[in-house]
Amino acid sequence: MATRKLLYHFTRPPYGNVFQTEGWRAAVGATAGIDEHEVTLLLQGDGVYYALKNADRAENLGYEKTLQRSDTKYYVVKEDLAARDVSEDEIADDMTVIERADTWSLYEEADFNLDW
Amino acid sequence: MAVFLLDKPSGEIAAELTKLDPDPKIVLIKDGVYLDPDTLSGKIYAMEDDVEVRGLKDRLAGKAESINYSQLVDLIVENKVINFS
Repeated sequence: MATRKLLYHFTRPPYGNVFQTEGWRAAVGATAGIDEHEVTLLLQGDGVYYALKNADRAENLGYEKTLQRSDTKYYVVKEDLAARDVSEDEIADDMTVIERADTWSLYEEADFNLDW
Repeated sequence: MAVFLLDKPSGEIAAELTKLDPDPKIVLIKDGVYLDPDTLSGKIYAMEDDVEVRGLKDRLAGKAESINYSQLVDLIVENKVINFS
């Protein structure tokens, strides 16, 4: 298999379930295999709460350090932040805010997308 | 261009994304069959098992084409898949 572009999108709230952590773990797995797939993470819906700068990300810290080595980008959808009354000032520095219309290009470029 | 698999929890987000696709194929699956097809545009399918068990056959008649899992596999194989299920 060749290297693929993978889009991991997170739509569920980040705490009280296994989806966020399992998704990040799976993302690391994709980047760490023989093929070293290119991974992009997209937070939308209630998944945007993970992007809060004061959110406790300790559980995923090891995964995040690994993903940083492969320049994985994290995007968060602007409209979903606004719908939850979250301002961009409250977002962690490693997150890139993106309009929903611009997420379409992420889906187009991705060979596969996975929902978490 | 793509086939979208829509379940209920993320259905509204997915519905917004389908509007960016000039030729979307939308499959309502699991609780996604509760979504209102009139709010969606594109070719709309609904999983027949999910529709029947929820008693929604009459409600979706004429609005969504009923398909089985074999037909779903064909759609998945033939198209790019964007999964919200």
